[in-house]
Amino acid sequence: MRIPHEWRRRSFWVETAQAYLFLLPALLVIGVFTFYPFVNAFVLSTQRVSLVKMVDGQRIPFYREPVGMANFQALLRDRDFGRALVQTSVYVGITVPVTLILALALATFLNKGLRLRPFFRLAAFLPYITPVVAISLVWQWIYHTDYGLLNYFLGFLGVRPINWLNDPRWTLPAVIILNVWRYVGYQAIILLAGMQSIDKEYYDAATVDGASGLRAWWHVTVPLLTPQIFFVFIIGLIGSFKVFEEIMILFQGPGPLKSGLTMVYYIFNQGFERFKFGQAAAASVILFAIIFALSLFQLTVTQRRVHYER
Amino acid sequence: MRKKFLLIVLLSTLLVGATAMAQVTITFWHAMGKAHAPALEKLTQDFMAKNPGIKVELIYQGGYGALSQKLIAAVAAGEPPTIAQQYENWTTQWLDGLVDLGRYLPPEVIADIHPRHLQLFEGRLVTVPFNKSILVLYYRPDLVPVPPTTWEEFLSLACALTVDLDGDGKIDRWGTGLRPPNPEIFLAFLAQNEGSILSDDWTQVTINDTKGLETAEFVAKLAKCALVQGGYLSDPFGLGQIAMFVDTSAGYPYNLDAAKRGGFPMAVAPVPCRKTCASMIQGTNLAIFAMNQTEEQIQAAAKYIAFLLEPENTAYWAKETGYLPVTISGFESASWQAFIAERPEQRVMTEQFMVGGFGQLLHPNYWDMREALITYYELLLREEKAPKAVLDELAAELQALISK
Repeated sequence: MRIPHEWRRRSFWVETAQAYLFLLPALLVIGVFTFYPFVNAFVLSTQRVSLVKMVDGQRIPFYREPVGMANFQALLRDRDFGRALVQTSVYVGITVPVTLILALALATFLNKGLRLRPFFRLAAFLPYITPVVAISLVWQWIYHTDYGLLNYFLGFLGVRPINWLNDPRWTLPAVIILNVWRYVGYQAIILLAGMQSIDKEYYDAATVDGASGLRAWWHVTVPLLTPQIFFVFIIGLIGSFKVFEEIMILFQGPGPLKSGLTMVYYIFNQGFERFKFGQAAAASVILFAIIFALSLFQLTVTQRRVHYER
Repeated sequence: MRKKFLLIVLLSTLLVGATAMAQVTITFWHAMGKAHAPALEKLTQDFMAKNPGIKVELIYQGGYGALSQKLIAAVAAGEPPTIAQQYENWTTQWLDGLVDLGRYLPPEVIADIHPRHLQLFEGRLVTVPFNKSILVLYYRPDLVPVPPTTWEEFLSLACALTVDLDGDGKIDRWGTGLRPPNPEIFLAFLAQNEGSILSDDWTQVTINDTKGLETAEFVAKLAKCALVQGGYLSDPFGLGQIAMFVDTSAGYPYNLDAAKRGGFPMAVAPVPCRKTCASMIQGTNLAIFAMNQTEEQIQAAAKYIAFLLEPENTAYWAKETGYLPVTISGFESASWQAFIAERPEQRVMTEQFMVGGFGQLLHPNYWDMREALITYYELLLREEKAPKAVLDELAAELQALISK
């Protein structure tokens, strides 16, 4: 084996040690709060946990027993898990594309060189940086059947008051509307940054070739924006699969007839409300597998379609 | 001069250190918010004044949800507090980690706990009642001059009071309100009809027998004249959307507040009866954890709990918070009797308890059973399924949980 040349230098080792020293705090935090729980969740998904168990006269806290695949089998039998899986998929399937399309429209609009652009930019970004709990509390009022802002405005269009928070059919739409509103600004800002970095030459060339307006947007802007579109799509997808807090606050539970039960809500309920840590871990392993598979699929499929400017 | 000063400092440090060493510190995790915390703090101060060797640290953990999650984490880590408030179905999850109070509380203290409050887990006393309330009927005397006393009266009155006031085809005021996450109302009616979830020996599911079916049919009819929603009913009550509703006596200040905001009177009556006038007891108990505690801490905690159960103290606690006293001597104490003599709603609550108060099922799987109850109760209330189908499917799930 050939030893790399740098290895002979003392300064190389000093620098490497220094680099790791600087990385250490971050590694510690990620290790303790991300990697350890990550590995532990896999282990836990094959165990049954008692919070405390008397074994030979000794009280053992968090007593674990291996149960093999029993937790996963229990998930398959649990109707609520199926419900959570379906409802989460519906939520993701609508929220992600709708947010992206609206964000693209908003970014295009902001890119038009409006006079009040900084204001709009701030207005669009505010929902994203506001804590979700605060947002949900405000939307609880917006969605109020009799006194809510949304029904008030819909009333002008002749729409009869919708029972947003107490009618199972409107649970997912309510959560989708809230989250589209919440993320559209953030995604638009990222897309806007991408749009502004597109060289004007491309548009000039397009104009020379007789393409302008919508056609230039479709044939120049969108293709050159694919890295940003791809990024917000993936981030949106992962984030949407984890929808939970807004449901918890809006409905003070999983919604009427569990119409707001999502995967993460299910995991929370199993683990921290029902003391079934093994089953909660099993559900989170499945959620991980789904997100992981989708991300891989995205990566391989879209890579061929993503255009990078040279 | 300077030497002398130093000596004094040294001596006083030693002295303070010594008393601190002699002092036993116990922690008490609770969920008593600003309405109830002052009474708890006062009782605790009184206790510490009487027992200078014991320091009780009251630690407010937020609501019951937050308290349960923090307790889960603390027990799992093997470092729970000395004392914690807890519901019965939490207690069963960490039963092995609790102190057998029968060995620490004087027999006369245990004998004084009101029998309707007394609960044994696997035959052992591990909890004592603390902030206990009971389901009662809240109503608006301006709409309900005479409160209903039977199921039939309740149902017909509720439906008569369900009206579309402005003629827009939408009901503006409901006779009553029912909350899917609160199946205890159903359990109270079930007990009134002499039904039960399980047989006494826990081997059979009995919820879908004739008594259960009658109860479910009654509740299904009631639901048609009820506002069915998940949140607390004090909000719609204050908005004038409900005429009367069954709720825990602990909700009294909130419901009264709502009525004041709405500008109408409110009164309290017993829950309408069937064969019996049973009503369900709500609220938490206290337990002492054996994990991570010294013998001195456990003894100090038992002493503190015995102090809270003294007649004057449980009566004081009940008077200040609206909860019920928990001991026989507390109910009989002169101060409690004088209190309910001038507060009619408190008298109703005490009488409701005496006539028919009953507690939660203490089955180790009751947590999951209650989740199933909530699921099917909601199907019943929202008319998704017929009463018989609801009970049969619920019974099948409960059967699976009995044997688990």
